[in-house]
Amino acid sequence: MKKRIKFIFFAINWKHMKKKTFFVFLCMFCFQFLMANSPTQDETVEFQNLEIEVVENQSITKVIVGKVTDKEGLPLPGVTVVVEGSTRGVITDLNGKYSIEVKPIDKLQFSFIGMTTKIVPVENLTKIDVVLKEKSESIGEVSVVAFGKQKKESIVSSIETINTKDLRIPSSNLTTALAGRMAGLIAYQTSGEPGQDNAEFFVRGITSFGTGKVNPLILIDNVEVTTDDLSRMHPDDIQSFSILKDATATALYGARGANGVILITTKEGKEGSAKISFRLENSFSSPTKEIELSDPITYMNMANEAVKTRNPLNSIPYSNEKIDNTILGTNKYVYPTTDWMNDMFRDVAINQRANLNISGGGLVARYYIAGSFSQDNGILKTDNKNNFNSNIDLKKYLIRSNININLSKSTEAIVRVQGTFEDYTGPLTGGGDLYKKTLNVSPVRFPAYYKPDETYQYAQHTLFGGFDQGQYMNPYAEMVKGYRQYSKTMMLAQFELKQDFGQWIKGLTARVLGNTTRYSSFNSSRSFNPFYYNIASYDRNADIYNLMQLNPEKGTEYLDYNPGSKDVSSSFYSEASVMYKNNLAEKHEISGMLVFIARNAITGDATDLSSSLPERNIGLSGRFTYAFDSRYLAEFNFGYNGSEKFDKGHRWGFFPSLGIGWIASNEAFWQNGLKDIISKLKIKVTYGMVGNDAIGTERFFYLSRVDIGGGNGYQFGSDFNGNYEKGVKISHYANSDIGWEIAYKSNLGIEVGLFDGKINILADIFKERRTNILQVRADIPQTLGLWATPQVNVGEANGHGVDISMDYNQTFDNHFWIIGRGNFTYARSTFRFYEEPDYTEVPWISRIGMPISQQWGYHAERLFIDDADVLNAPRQDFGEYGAGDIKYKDMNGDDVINELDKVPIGSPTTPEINYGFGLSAGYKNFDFSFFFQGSGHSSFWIKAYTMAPFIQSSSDGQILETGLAKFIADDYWSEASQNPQAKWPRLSNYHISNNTQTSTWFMRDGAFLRLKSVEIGYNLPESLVNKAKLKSCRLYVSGTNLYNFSNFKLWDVEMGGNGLGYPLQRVINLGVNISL
Amino acid sequence: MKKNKYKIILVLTTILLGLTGPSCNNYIDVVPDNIPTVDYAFNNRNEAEAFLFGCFSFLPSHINPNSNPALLSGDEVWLIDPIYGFDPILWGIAKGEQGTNEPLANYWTTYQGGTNTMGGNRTFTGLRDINTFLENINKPFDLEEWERKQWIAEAKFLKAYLHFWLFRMYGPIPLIKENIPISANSEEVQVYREPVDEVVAYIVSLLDEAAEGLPIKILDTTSDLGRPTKAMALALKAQLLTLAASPLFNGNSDYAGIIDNRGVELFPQEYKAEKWQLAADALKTAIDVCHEAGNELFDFNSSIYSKNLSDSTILAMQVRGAVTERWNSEIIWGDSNSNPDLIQKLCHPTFFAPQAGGDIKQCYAPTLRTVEQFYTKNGVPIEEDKDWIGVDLFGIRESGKADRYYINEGYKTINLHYNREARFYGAISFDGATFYGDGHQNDDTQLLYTNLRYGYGNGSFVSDRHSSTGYLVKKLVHYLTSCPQTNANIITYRYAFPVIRLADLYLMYSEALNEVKEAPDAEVYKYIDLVRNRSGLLGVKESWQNFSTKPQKPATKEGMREIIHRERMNELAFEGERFWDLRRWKMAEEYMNKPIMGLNVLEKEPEEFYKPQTLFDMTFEKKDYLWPIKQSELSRNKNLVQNLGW
Repeated sequence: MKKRIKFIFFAINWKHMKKKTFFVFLCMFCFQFLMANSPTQDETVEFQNLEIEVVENQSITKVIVGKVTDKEGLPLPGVTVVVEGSTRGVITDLNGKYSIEVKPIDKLQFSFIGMTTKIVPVENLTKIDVVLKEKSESIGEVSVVAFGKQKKESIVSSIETINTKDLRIPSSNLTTALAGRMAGLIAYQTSGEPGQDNAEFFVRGITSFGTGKVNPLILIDNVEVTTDDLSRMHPDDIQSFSILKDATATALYGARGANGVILITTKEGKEGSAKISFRLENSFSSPTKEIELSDPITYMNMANEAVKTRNPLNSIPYSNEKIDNTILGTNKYVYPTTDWMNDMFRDVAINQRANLNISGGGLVARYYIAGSFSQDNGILKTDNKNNFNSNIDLKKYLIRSNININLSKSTEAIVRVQGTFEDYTGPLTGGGDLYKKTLNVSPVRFPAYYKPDETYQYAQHTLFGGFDQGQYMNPYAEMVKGYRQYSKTMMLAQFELKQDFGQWIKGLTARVLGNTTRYSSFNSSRSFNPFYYNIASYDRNADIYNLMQLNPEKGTEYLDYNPGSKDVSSSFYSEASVMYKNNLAEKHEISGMLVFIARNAITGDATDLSSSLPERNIGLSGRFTYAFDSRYLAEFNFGYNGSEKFDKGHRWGFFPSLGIGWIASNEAFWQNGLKDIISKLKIKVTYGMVGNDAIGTERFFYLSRVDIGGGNGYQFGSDFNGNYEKGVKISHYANSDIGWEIAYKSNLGIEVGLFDGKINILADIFKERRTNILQVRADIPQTLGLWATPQVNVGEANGHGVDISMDYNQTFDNHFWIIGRGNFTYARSTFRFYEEPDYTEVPWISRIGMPISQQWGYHAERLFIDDADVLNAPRQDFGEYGAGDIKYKDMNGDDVINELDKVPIGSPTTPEINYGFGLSAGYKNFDFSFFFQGSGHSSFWIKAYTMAPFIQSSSDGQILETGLAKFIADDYWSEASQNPQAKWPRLSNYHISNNTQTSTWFMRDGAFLRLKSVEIGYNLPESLVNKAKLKSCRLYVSGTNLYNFSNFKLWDVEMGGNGLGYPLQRVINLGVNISL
Repeated sequence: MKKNKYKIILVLTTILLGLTGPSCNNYIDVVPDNIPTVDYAFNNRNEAEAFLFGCFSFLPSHINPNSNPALLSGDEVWLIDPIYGFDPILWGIAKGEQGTNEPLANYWTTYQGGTNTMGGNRTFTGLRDINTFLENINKPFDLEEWERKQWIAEAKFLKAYLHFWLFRMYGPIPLIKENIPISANSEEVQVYREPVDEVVAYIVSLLDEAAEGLPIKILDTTSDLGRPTKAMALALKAQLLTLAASPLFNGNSDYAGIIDNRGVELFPQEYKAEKWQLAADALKTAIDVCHEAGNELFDFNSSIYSKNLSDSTILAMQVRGAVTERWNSEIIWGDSNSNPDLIQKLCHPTFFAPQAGGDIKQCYAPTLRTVEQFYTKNGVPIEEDKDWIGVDLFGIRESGKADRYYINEGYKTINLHYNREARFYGAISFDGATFYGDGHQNDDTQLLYTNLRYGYGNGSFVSDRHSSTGYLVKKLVHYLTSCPQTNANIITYRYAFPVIRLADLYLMYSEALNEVKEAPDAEVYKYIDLVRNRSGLLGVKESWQNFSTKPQKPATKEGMREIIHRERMNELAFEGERFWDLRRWKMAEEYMNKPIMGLNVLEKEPEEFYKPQTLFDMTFEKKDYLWPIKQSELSRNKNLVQNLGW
């Protein structure tokens, strides 16, 4: 039998609810192969020709009906239903339904290829609905581990796997779903801007203070990818999502695994007819909380005060006449009170996402193909005079094709092709920048734009508000004057070959894999120069104003083009492995594996010679496991890696790890009664080393980086065009002693199952010691005259913590089920050794023993009461200060406040505690779930420098003037009310650097608890679904970031000090998921 | 059939493993040979020359106000904040914002690659590079001996100048005689600040060695003008010895307690008069060598435009020309590398409406005390001039025809602006002042004039481009710098800013002789009078005798000292000399504890505009004489002693 070309092609059209028509065109991977014969043909035939025999029975028979579904509730057609011990049986129909005649003493056996067989005693039931679980991929039985899968029971390392359903949140960025979902993962998100909203995440915190990589290694189908690639993954395509936390779990990755590993496998096709699943979501997002600005009248009064309070001789910026007329509301263009936030931002943005996947296959080949599309819109307003749209519009497309082909009974080839594409248009400087700009403009100088007066009534352009010569920044003009576009592509092609040598040696398999990933991106922008206007004269009686153009020479009505950057890079990865697995004498389970990897990455936009050279990594790793009687487990792993970054003597690193485990619940003594309560108890201990070569920004530590002719030059000659040459620049001094950063990790874990697995608890206590952390030499004085401070790897850090996860799972009858889950992570990392100057006299400056993201700052006591108070206090070494400015504590008593008085203040900036908990429940066709997420033990600082009101600064030839946040207006030190504890010090119209030092004054607690998500779903009743020829159809409403509990009220606390950034979004989402 | 397939797969696997397997070490050996190292810099003459130029690049930009603290960190000029397109970092020193956390003009610890340089430069890196150069300059195979000798001398001159630059700021400094290897241990790199006398002696020895190998004159001026000459080395030596003889470093008891952990006293506590003699000798030698090299006081009559100009204009242009005329005869060391572009944009007034939005910044404003400090036309201070007794300095009157070369005819301005010495008119743009230049070189009958009142006339009042005092510096603008009527942008004419010019040496020589001698004599008067005569002033003795209320002043040592000080401040105004002079004379406390004054620039009407205003209450303490060393550097090197008061 010959299989011919299979070609799958589909297109979907649907109407968007808001008049827009979307067109998604997905041309999926087409593949072609020819095969001479199919060795598995017989089996297929056997299946299809299964005899259906109904045998008369003497005793009472009855008809049982029912439906067989998979765990997602999709009907399973073709399931074999037989009476156990006989040949009587039926096959389920297209809707997964069956009916069979049985006797009460019979037991029904449900089996389906790829699913675990289930046996149900008939007894007195008349209807038996069965849910079959997937066999091989079932998370309950085997778990994904480094370079393979392992029986979950026998794993001793610390691996956390998440149900992919939990990653399904209404966001097109997968990383935003991670916070609080998994024990051991610290994650937070600081911006809600489409395209810029990746969450930061770390496995068990950050235990290095080097300048290199501290993020976990991310692998999709064994291939290293970037955070951006992870963010674009669609949860529907994910088969498993795990994080590998301890040394034993990550040792195989040797060079790359020190910061933990996120391991994702994508779905593969399963035998059976094509399963089509389609999901459509439409969501409404709006900021969780925006910073409040004060009213314009207060603004003007306080702006005047800011000038007078610092220098009574200076004239006030806003006259009484202007203030009075603004209060009266005389003319909103002449006496503007501009609400920039309102002029620029909408309340709600509407986003769409769609995902389609088709899977199926026969015994020869299986396929999983998926396409997804998402469109995220920003919340910026657009100007109706422009025919372009400068609002953020980010479209992401993703196609994926995973094809498994059985080349022979023991050989499997897998081809994976994936492409992700991003198209973006948005404002010139990004959405976050526009938010910043709204707080960098006065609300009363000019409106966003003027209604044309008589002179300019025929002007073709928008009459933007401006001041003076038009150099005052108008954020509205900045927003609509142009747009930026970018386009990003990631293409990944992967070939994998698996060979089972079981014919010759039982349990021996081998695998080779090759992958290439190509990235490319480019961006460009187009903009015009706005014309700015201001009021020239105003006739109060007639209420008529005349405008004047401020920048007639500079404005343009046509667009200019600015080319942007173009980035290309490519990487090649290959992997070969041999595995052996066997049971000896029944009780001894052994396995062994050797993996060889090589990775090569080059970039097309290198800036110098050393960055143009390929980045390479090479390694041999192995895993050997032994299990005795499913009770005693032992595992040895190693990674042996080479890195091109180091000198020949330090190039290779060997990273072994060892783990042992004891499954107490499998002991004989456990079976007597204890098993009913504690169904499972496993204790495991691991210890090992993991390396890290991404330890700094330097490419080759053992070489100096010298740029001959790259230094500064000098010009001679009478006409300044004579002898000119450029000198040498040294960016790095050679140091052949620099080698691997090494993490020594230990983990003590316990796994407990209670009440027949209804409650599962995983708990780990971990400890880590990082050595050889790269740091700059701290005791080299500048008088040595080096171009660059030498680096050495002498730093050491400690890490410790716990992570606990717990879930509870119960089905009360066939109609009601409940799943609860929670997790908690505490991770603290501290400096163990840090080379620093001798701080014995000022021990509080020393970092040793302090958390890695600890901040040092001044201890603010209060605000100075008056000038006498200032004179009596130690001198503060930050320039001008006086009454109403912040008074700092003199820690060393030397009567001067300077660097030596900095103390560790607050908690670290990276939260030390992350936790999440939630509940899902279902009743008949309804399901409901909610999830809370929280974080604790972190501090952040209100950025006093950027928040300080009334300060003019120049940027890109424009004048910015900071606005007035309401919390400042509400509580500040003034000569009228000299409150030494006021939230904001004495006003000023220029920076008082005394007040903008990092200090306890602006420190805030970053802890919060957030109602992260709520979802209500409804599965349409079968009758309805069947009529529409569907398998299932689920409608759901979900919401994220719905409510936040925190002591900090000014903006979303998760954004930290970045209060003027693009706010995090609260999303309400409507979705439908259809299977056919 | 089946077996074949297995074989194929096996072979494929083996090949894949085989391809990647055995060549592991080669695989990660990605670095090709010949990647550049410092050694390549001395392989041949061209590379070595580039290295030498790299050493030169560590010289501060003398005419950049964000590099040279002497330009705007004192009481001579006052700015506004913000200024369009310019952040005056070093102005913070004038405003009392110097500190140990982030010192301004930090030439000690500014680290290369740092984003915020705080107006400093990595001087010690420069010194290390110079030493590297001196260590390796015997290597290039194709370098001729005479050139090697000259380059070594140049490198030594640079080494001396960078030490001098640090010494003037910090006082005692570590001497970077040779490089400490990078592999040195922590103790070896912890250097000491050496005492003043040792520092001076070392720099002098470097300059003596340099003078040996440097040429008298640069022959190939087109390609090499600006390179060190013998005159430069000797002038610098004279400057250094004068500094060392001055009250700040010569027996200054304020610094009595500055002793390092070796017990070494860093400042000499004994006043030594012979230091002035050393200075005088060095100055005489330097002046002689300068004359030999062809240096003489600049005369604007030698300019190609001078023939159609009035005497008044020529006189006003004498000193402005001595600074801005490209490579004029007076320049001993001209900075060929720093372009006086920014400074001219800061100084240039706007004359026409479009310029209000261009890159002219017009904010480099002399303080009222600088305006008052210039002599009257009689060559004596206003407060001593007999003619000026009872004159209301701020009394307004209309200008007449006689004033037309200096003041716009028929313009209402104050008495302070009338009847001043020519250098005043050449140095300062005031309200109603004529402006020679900007497209009017050939003819001074229709000169442009500056109107600096609020919202008036040519320059509209722009909030980030205006004078804070009602005055602008004119002296640093070349007359060929142009900003046409229809143009918003200015085209600045590049000149070589004089780091050292002859008048400076003359006045210093007078000063040193005055200190050496019991009482001033003809030799003392000779050099100061040369400078005065050039700008149309009578000699010191005559002027004081004829016009001063204190006619005997030039006869006493103290009186003459005061006169020489005032002369230096007038002659060298806005050239970055006053800043160091006031410190050197230990007079900064007297001058800089007075408020900074200006006119009322927010007013339109003369009656209001000409009311003096306090702009800033300036304070200067003992600690401000010398720079603070950054706190972090003291933490790293416990052998360093912080300067007094920081």
